[in-house]
Amino acid sequence: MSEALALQRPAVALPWRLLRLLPGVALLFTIGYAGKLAETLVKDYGKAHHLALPNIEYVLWAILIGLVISNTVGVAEIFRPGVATYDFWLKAGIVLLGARFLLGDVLKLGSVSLGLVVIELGVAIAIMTVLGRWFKLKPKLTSLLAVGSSICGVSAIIAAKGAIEADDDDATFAIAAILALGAFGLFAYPAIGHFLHMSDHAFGVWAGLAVDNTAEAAAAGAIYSDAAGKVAVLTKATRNAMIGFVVLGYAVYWASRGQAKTVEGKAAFLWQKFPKFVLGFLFISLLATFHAFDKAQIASLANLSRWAFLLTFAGVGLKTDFREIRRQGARPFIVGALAELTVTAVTLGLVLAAAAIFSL
Amino acid sequence: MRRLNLGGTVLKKLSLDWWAVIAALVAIILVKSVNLTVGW
Repeated sequence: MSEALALQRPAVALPWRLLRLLPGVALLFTIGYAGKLAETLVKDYGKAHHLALPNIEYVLWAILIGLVISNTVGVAEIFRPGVATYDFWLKAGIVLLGARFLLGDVLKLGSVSLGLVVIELGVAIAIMTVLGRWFKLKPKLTSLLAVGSSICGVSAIIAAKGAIEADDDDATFAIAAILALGAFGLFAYPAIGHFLHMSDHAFGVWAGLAVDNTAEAAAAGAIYSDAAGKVAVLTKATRNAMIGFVVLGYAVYWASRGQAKTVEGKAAFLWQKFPKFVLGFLFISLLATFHAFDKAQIASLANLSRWAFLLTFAGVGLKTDFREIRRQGARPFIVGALAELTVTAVTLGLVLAAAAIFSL
Repeated sequence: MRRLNLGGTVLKKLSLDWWAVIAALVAIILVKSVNLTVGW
């Protein structure tokens, strides 16, 4: 009887769980589509009235609409499970983006990015550690901020939290700081890129290196240009692939101090933390390299990827609640901001140097 | 029974990353097999 119940439970629960996602997914779609419409309307209005209006991309509109909703009326409970799927759309969008890359390009850009990522990791971790000590933050909070700012924001913090047995409060602090800085980066990075007349390629690499959260990195790139968005995602994916090594490093450090469990089976640990969607991206890029898709099919897959990103960008705005960030206090935010500013400057220097050497 | 239970466990254990890969592969199958065309 209990076995029969155990079998029935998932069958009943799954459709219900999927149903609960619908309102939030519909909200993501509505906001994303409204952003797309706003871009077209502004463009058409400018053309019709012979006005030189700034071209504000749908990405920025979708994020702004989401930000306004989350920071005024808030996101109602019924929408929350569906809004949380923005991470799923992001990853599905990245995997589908593989159809627009040939494996040779991935390896070429990936190897340049990897070198820059390794330097960025060292700089970000060192700066965050020093600043954490200066500002007398709790050591594990400093570790979480270092992982979040060096690798990939929220998912890295969550992965590290379990591995180093940090407090829930520390993780909430670190996530709030990283999200606030990501929201700021969305607006600041494209403005700096335009000011410096950076190429799409160079800007994409910089956004992928310097913006912490994957969704924000993809959005910052897409705000700059479609080509920059593609490169930003690839560079960020290279950075994400390093998550296991950094989290393992911190786990071993805290275990050696007797403040976390010893990691047994390091290879299994690395595999567990490795972002599997990167493998999906590489697989689809491999299919594209061997001409598995014709031109029309590549266009359809690229458009599907854009739709998935559209839902992601709406989610980026909806999940950023500045009131929550204010509640967390200023100190972790200041430490994060100082470290981010340094990482931004260092990565910008690296990218400009790489652009001159490798003609990015 | 046990096999079904194991299947359920495996499904539950699939991470979001794998679900994203599966969704993308389903999309590819649709684009290739039924010529699904997606505009923008």
